[in-house]
Amino acid sequence: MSLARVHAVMAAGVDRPQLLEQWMADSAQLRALGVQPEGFDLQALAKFAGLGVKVRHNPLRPMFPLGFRLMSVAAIEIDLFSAYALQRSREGRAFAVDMAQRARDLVAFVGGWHDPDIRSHALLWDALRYELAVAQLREPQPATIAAPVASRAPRIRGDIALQELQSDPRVLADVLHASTPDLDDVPLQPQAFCFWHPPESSENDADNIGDTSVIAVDALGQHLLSRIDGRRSAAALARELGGGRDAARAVAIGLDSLAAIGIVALPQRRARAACA
Amino acid sequence: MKYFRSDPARTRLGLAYGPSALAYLDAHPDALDYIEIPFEQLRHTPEAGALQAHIPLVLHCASVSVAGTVAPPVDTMRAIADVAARLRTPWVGEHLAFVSAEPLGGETDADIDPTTLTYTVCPQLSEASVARVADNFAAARRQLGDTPLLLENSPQYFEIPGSTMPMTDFIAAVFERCDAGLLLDLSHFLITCLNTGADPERELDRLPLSRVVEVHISGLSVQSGIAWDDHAVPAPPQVFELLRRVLRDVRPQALTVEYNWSAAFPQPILHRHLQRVRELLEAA
Repeated sequence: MSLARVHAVMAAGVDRPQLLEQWMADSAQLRALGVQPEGFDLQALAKFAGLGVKVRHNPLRPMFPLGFRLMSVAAIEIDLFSAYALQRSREGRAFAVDMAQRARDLVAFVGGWHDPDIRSHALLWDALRYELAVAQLREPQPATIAAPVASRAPRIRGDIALQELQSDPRVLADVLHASTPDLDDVPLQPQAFCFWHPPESSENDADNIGDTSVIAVDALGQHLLSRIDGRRSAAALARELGGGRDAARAVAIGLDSLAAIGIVALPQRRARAACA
Repeated sequence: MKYFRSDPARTRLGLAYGPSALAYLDAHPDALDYIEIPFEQLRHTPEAGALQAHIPLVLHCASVSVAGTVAPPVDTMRAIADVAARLRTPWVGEHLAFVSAEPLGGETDADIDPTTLTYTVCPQLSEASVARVADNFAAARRQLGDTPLLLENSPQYFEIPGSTMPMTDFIAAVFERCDAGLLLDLSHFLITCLNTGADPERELDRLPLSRVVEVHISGLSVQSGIAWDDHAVPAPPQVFELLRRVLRDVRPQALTVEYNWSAAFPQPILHRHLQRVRELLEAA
């Protein structure tokens, strides 16, 4: 087979993996290009396209250290990035030049690609969402006109992101940092987490990864953190839970717990009550 | 500025440019002889060249497409020559591979220009390819002036259509036709052996080892049934065994450890592997 034709077909397939997909479905298209389909390992070529895309995502490694370590340990990098290369090629979309956008694109792709029944995929989906949330919390927040803060309303100290994950990123980090990581050592069960970037990171007592804390929260804590906006009072939060003495007591206990961690600032009167 | 100086009695030890190499250099400013830096890096971020105030730079390249059927743009070759002269690099290391190919043909605009990739591809291993490399190499040498051009063996991941010879024969044939130094990437070599079922020891004996000027070491990973180049993981023990075997026959001028894909590459492992390389060099 002609050197120039072979190189042309290989390069086009790597550059536009949707062509590989077409050639797999209809080998006559390859013959029409002047090459023998039998000589081409199109599956391997598709994987090679994935290697190139993987390398192009190396700049994201500092943002996703757990995600990339997990992909390597689970040996799923090539499969993932070859599938990603194919998807982008089908859509005719180049990879974003801006790294923050490239990161969001990758996480969005993995959201659709991963099989939640495969442990490594489920862990990867968790790890990437966690690390993306942490990266976004570290980004300088755009200046906005501050919403009016009610004096009797609890408020969030710093910035938070809430995620429901199947695994605890702290446990995953411990496992991945072992010399021979065993992903079976990471329990899988639905949990809610709050990733908290405090205004002064030295103040918090929670488990700290870098300057962002990971806090496991129960359903009430998750609900409260999603509703606290500096305007709703504790009474308003209780009314959203149906009102009544039980709801008020639950909200009070929940707020006090969050205040004890430091993630929520309570209005003066509630804070005094919490200290009593 | 600092410049690379060859010493026939001593192999210079360097790291491939990347965040882990810069961190290592900060922590051990006297432990390295040079940093190998890609031309493409300097082209996009020329300020990276400021590193030469602290340590010599050796130029690596992935733009010449020496095994390709499409010549690189003239301005690219001119830029490589300019950078090489400015750095006073002892040589330019280039992959025995291609990055550009003729368009598939057709009527759409996308098919008019050559296809240019961001990653080098193992060429067809054939007499026609050898002849093409010889022509391209001669042209590149003319364009690079006094700077020698080393050719680096590619990793072979799968059968290349139309190939008529194994990788080792291809390399030997190229070096018969080209007055080139060999940049022997031992990880690429092992990857090729793993993927083609060749015996590494036997194939190593058939390489033109007397032409080795520089050696590369990096990691590899096996995924989807194929061994892949991977500069984010440490080299496996087989690579060090191959190095020991190579050093029985040759004393390369330079040895570059390429752990440059991940800023999180563990510095203790990097340090240990450099130590191990030093020990092998001293024992040889």
